[in-house]
Amino acid sequence: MAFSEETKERIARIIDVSRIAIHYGYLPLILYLGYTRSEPRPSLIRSITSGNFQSLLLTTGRLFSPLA
Amino acid sequence: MSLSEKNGALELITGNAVAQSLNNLYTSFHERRDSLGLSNPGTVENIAKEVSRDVFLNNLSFSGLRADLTKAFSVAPLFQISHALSMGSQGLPPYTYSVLYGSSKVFMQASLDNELSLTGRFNYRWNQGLVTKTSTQMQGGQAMFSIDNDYTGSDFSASLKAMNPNILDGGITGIWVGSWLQSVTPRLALGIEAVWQRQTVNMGPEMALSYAGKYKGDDWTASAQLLSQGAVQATYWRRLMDRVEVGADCTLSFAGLGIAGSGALMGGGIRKEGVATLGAKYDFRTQSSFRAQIDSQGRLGALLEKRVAPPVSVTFAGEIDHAKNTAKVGLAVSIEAAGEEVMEQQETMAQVTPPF
Repeated sequence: MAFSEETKERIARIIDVSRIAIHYGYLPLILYLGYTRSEPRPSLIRSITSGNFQSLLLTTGRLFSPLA
Repeated sequence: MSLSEKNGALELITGNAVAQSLNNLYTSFHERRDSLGLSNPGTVENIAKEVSRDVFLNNLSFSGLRADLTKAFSVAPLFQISHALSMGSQGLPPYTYSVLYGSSKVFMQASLDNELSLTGRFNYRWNQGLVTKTSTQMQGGQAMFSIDNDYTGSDFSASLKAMNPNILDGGITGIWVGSWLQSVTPRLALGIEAVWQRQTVNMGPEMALSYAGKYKGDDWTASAQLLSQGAVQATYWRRLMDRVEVGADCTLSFAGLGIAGSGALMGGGIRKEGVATLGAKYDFRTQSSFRAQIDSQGRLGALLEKRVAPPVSVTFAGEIDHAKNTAKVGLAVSIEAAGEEVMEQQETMAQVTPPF
């Protein structure tokens, strides 16, 4: 297949950037999808939208600890 | 042009004698095919699933200490996060954080370990039959990518898979696998798998074909696979009692049968090897199971999975290699936590089945 050097370089750069984007962005994307779409809403989201900061502090731990 | 004229023009194409007879042929072929009452045979990849995945402990065995903490946030859509810790085991990283999201159309999963290497999967279900599965592994500057299209028909399964496909180097490189498994009678299914690979452009492509067959009895299943490079694998699975399953596997490889030249170079002649494995599985009432297996190379393995309390299960794995005089043991604790709301949901709602 005939690609010019310039096109090849451009495609290689696009692949490189998307690789890094997937590497560091895919997991947060799933977290975002899960937290916004799951039913019932996890309490972290509820406390952000209701502005209750004390419960926000309490529930941020749930992001990291499954036992919290 | 009026609507009736349009229909008239269409009718000229669809209503002529040739098209109609073709149409008749097609419908009668389908009616005959439906009247055979064939069911989907599964995939070529999973042809020995009952034996190698369900009864044997190949995929389940581990060594060292392991702990899994899982928290389910939601059932529909499925959303859960988990932490896996392990100590003293080969192949497993000390810490892994993974998230999973699944609805009826998509399935997304990512796990990141302590060395920041990512394993990601993204599956998408286009319609009832067609599922596209992509997976990627990234470690440092290296990346692996594979895309798999599976079609599940009423009496066949087809899949086309590409691993690290690349067309930038001036030709197609990568590994391509195509497979087809077709039910021939309600009990018998036959399949074929083709692998085409080309590592770099200046190397020639290699192609290998393998054949598979599966026969389903009332409470037993037998499968045979003739792999490329002259290996034969035969399996037999039987449900002895309500809770007891047994499986046997026999793999014979005649290295050098298919590719005589390279076999002679590497092994200095034709090498013959054979391994026979026998395994059994016992299911307890409370989602617990015990598996044991022995093979002809002198390896003896056992695995006990016990659900201690609804959220806690303990797994104990042991293996003794008599020929090499080595042994390994493993102990795993897994805790699944879920909120009360999620528990209630799980009982009342119908489960979604994401395209795993």
